[in-house]
Amino acid sequence: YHPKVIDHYTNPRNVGSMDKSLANVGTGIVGAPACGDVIKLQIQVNDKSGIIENVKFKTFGCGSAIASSSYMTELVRGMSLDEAVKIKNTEIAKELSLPPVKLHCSMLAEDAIKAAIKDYKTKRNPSVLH
Amino acid sequence: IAAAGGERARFCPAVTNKKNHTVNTFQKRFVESSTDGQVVPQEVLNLPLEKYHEEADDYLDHLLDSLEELSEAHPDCIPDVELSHGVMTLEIPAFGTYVINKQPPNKQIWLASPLSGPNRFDLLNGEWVSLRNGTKLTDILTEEVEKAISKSQ
Repeated sequence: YHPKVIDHYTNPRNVGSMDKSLANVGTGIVGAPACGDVIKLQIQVNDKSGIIENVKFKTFGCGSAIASSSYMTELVRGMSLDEAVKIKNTEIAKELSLPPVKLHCSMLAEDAIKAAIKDYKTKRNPSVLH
Repeated sequence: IAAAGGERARFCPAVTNKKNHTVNTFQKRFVESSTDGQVVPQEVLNLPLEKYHEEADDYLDHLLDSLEELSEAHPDCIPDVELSHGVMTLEIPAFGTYVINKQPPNKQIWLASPLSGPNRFDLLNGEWVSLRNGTKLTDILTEEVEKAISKSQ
């Protein structure tokens, strides 16, 4: 593994959780427990500015999944929702120099932030049904 | 390239112009899924595990045959392809290492491409299709392998 993966794995940033019932907290849980990796990523958003002010994550999975989600929390803090939703897994894979089989971990982290943003937006617009 | 075109026909026998056809069958899924919570077709959810194994093994075996032929024809471009216990490793020096593997808990096939990145494919209408972006595993591999071959010529 690349030293950056080891660093995030041994010293993960922003571990923890927030109250998911709060209106300004979006929660994304992605992954299949059956195959091992599950990421829970939460964002606290400033309702006025749309800026992500706080991020927490909990990940069950391999070192790369933990590192990917840890790095993701560093990346999105201070970003607007519009910026955060555009983050691509390639950006994470590149930063962490993930090997081929571990590219999926970075995709899971991308899914997690997207799911969290989606959850936040659903809370903000509860009347929109699909 | 003509040879590559010929390969394409053999490589992806089931690929037809069905691109828009998956969308209508989608149903809302009320649990968060591994594919960022978007809609998952009933056909995917209802696929029996034995059928999954049968289809996935069959697909990977055929893929191996096609790639081995290409590897013999273009050893510099594709020096190595291996399939073992549902995990295929494909070496394309121009791009890097591909890993294509069965993911039985999700009834999916996963692709890690050094060129287009990761993706996961579900069996839909007899083809392995990504629910994230609608791309087909066969199309991606065909395109990238052809690119590697044309690059080396």
